[in-house]
Amino acid sequence: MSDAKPADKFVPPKELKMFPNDRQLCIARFSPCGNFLAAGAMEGTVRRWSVVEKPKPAVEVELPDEPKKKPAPKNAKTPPESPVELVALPHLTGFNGWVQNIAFHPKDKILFVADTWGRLTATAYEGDAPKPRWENVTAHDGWIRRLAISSDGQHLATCGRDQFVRVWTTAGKLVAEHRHTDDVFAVAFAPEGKLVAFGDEKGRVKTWDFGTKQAGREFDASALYKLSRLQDVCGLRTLTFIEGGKSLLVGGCEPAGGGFLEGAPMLVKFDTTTGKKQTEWKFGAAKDGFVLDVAWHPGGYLILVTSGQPGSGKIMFLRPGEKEPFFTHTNVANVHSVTLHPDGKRFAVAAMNKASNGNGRPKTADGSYPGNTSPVHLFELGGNG
Amino acid sequence: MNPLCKPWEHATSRRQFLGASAGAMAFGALGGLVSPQAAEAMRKKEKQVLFVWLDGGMSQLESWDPKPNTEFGGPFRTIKTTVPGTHFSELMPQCAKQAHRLCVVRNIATKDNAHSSGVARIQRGDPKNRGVPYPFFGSSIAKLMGPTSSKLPAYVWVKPGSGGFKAEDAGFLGPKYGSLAFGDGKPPEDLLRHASLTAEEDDERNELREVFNRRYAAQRRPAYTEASSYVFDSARELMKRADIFDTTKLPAKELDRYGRTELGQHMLIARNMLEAGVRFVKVGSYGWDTHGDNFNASASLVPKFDRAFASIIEDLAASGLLEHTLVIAMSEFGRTPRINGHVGRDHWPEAWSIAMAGCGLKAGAVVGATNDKGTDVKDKGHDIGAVFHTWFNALGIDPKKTEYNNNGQPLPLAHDEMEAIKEALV
Repeated sequence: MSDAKPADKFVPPKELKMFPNDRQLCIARFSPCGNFLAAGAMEGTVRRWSVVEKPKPAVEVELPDEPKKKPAPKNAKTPPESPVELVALPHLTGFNGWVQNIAFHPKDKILFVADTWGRLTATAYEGDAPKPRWENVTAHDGWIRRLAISSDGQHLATCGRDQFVRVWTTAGKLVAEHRHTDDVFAVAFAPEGKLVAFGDEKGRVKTWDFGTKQAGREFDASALYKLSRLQDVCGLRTLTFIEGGKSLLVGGCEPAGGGFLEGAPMLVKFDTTTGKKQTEWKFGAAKDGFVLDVAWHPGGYLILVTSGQPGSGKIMFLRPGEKEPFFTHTNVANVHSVTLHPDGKRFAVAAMNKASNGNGRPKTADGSYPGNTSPVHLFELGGNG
Repeated sequence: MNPLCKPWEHATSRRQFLGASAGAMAFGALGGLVSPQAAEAMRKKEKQVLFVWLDGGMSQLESWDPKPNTEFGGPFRTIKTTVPGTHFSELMPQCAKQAHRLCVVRNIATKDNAHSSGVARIQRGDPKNRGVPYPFFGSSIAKLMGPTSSKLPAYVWVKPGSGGFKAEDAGFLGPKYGSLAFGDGKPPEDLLRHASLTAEEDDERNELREVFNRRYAAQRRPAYTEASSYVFDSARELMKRADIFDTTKLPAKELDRYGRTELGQHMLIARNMLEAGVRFVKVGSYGWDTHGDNFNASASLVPKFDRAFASIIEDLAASGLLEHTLVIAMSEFGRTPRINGHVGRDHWPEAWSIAMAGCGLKAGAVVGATNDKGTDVKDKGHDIGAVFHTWFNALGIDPKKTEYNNNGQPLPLAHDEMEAIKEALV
């Protein structure tokens, strides 16, 4: 832990355990029941784990005639046992490219999965071999950039590289579509009504009523875009409604240039009624990259995760009314996703192995060429739930 | 013949025959004897080169050699091309339509994974160390083949940023064979004769300039003064063809087809230059070093290359120039199969691709292959020396029989232990 600016009564989160993985992950989400964790991988699979609470160890009673156990040496470093384990379940397969987006239905036992070849799938997620409920292999022409589910569980929203925003029923029926002018990187449902917000590669954010099919307000997040030589550098990654839909957070990066893609993580808060920018946060230096994911904690704060140059990554805790995060955790590399457990007491992040860059060390000594991986780090929020 | 002549002097003679003097002899001698149409037809048969340099390293996996649904394959799909059984990344739909005109080598395996050394090493053909800097390919062609009968500069470079004369490209050949670079695709400032000057006044000024030049040259090394004169003379030829740089008068459809991007517009200028008779046109594009966010970067960059490159291939084929023009698109290396924490790909010289087309090459060929994950070449790969042999052969220059003469030091044109990629050649 570092860079702490603890707020009153905030107990810094404690990492319970790191769970290795053999592939890189794009996104991780807890199920609404809290018993499962699922993650979309940079291959056509969804990784699943059961979240298993360990029984608290019984208090050992020393019997008078039993030999005494040797005490552990004073310098021994035994990590404390995690009270929670993630027990791996068989992967969900049949997807293509990357699974960059997943979303759990808030009530039913359904997981929605979007891949980068345009497939949108609804599937059961419990048991060893859960079956798909429905799938649409051409939901988009290519990369589905973002998948969102409405809070009432009635609708899905997707957006893609094909410049479309689409709204579906959770039974898979297309409700409405909007053809935009550029690659659409993020979409989110407003808490109530039939309004979605979407953001494109140029940092243009708009709302759209999928009931009336009318365009709504426009928000200028062009600070998250740069034309760098030939490259349109898109910094926009996340859209999050907060404060009951009164505010919209746009997260990503203020790009300094393409190629290496340096830029500072950025979050911009807009008033959804007026469209005016309320607050703009920049977190860190150009090497720190993007705010890639945001989780809202019912305690009134955001958990933001960032990923930039290989090795850099942060987990930040921010109250929307404050200028700076009140706590920042930096002992993780390239955090790509964060998910809050429904009990509000734990969260998990999908991060990266250390030293993930590849220049100058293409292969291991034995000539093999292992890929990078995304360990899942499980944290406890202590007294902050 | 002088009984004390050296073997390389014979090579020099041969070179001169193959090179600069050939064009001058053929067309200079015919000068006023052939009709303009016939002269133009003959000029169109002169060999030319288009060299597209994607600086930083385009990902082979997001372009010529995709590995969909594999560990390092990335998010993109593949698409069919006009060559049955060959697929490109979905980011290259226009090149896919031109695949029957391309020759893609997928088993390039080079040695340098740093830009600082790799750019020059690759463009010089990475020969054995002879203690002198070798010329870039463009300078080699300028030396070996000279200007075409158009008398336009032999080696030009259309690039983003600054322009000027890049003598360093020429290595030991001397500054005369450097590239004349047009920064941001713009002609040199003051290219056109000022409106207040008459042609006669302009001639008088040039006579005076030549007097000064001779005085200046008398006190300096000939290589540098020759280069200065060469650049000036080339610029004067360009004065007659300022239209080459003007893409604004082209139909909107044409501009859209190439893409209204820096690379698209520079490729159009390159097309104009090839049509006008420039021997070697290099088009540079920067920003391909996608260590971060490689896939979104590729989604932005590759289609812009795709559109511009496919359009010029299509146009060169339609005009008949492709038959006599060697077209090359490449970088200093490829990109790692492994995806780093910044969702980028790093430098990967071990297994990457070069796309070519045109004279001397097999159209529709896909040469070599990488393994299933794209981490290594299958069988034997080709280093850049072999690629240089291939290019020289495609242009009708036999690098096994032709040598440079570096002030008496015979030097091979390309790595003398390497061979041309025979599968790529007609």
